Amino acid sequence: MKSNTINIPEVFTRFPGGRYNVGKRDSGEELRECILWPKLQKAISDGEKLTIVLDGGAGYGSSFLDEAFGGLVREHHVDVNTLRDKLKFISVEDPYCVEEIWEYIENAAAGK
Amino acid sequence: MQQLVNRIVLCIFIMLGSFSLIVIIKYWSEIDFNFKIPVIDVISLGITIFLAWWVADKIEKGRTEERFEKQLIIDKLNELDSCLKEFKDWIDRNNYFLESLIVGKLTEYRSIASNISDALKENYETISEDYKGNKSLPERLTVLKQLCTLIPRHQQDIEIVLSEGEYYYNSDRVDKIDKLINLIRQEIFQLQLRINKI
Repeated sequence: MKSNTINIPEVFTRFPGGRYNVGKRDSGEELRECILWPKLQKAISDGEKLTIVLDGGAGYGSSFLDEAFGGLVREHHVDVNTLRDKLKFISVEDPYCVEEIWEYIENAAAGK
Repeated sequence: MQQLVNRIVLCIFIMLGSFSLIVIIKYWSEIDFNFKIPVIDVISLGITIFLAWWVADKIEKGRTEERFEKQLIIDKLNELDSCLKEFKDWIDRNNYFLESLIVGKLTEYRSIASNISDALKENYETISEDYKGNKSLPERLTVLKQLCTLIPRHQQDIEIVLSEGEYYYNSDRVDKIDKLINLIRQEIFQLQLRINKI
């Protein structure tokens, strides 16, 4: 299985903002709609894995992570198992960030 | 200097022990002593001295590493405690907070907690096991981060508002943040006591 990568600080921003696309800040919604969802669709159709690098950013707010990753389940109805199969996270600087993301994905699937 | 003295004392004890053992074996097997020194005894003595030095060195190194790890964890716990105290004072003093600053601080604290958690797993498995079923330090800090930065999707929570890159908390939310920080700091204190006892 091939793998492609999204390095968030490199391709999106080092200073992630809040949840929605309002104001000037780089939001979780913007990451999901402009980068994450198109790349995930391609990864699913090509049978590839999608690696997401979180290291190098100034820190990710809870709303940002919830909207970017939980939003894949809420807005695009992606199955949790598909996400578990396709997404791989790299976060050496803050390993618990990955656990936090999975918590938001599970919560979104549970309709919380 | 202290390490060298410890090593020499340990070495002397091990040599005395080895010598006593040899004497006892010789006495019980009723082998006569003689004053001619066979080559094999000289080699045996050399090996005994080497082993005594080597064992003493190993023991001393082990003790030093253990003390170093223990001090490292306690220092990290102190650092996290100071950070949280500073964070609590900051929240109590102000009405609004720059989003990037608050997220950055909480990410840094969770990173310190994550290092502590890893060091505990590696060196003090029994303490680490106690966390099973309870929230660990990094998990508590995730809850703190959510309390400070998770804005509901639809309804605007009156306790927390994000406007133009700044968070505003009302007194109820500040109260919840204060209580959680106090709880985490108490857990840090308990953890320090347990590590100190080891």
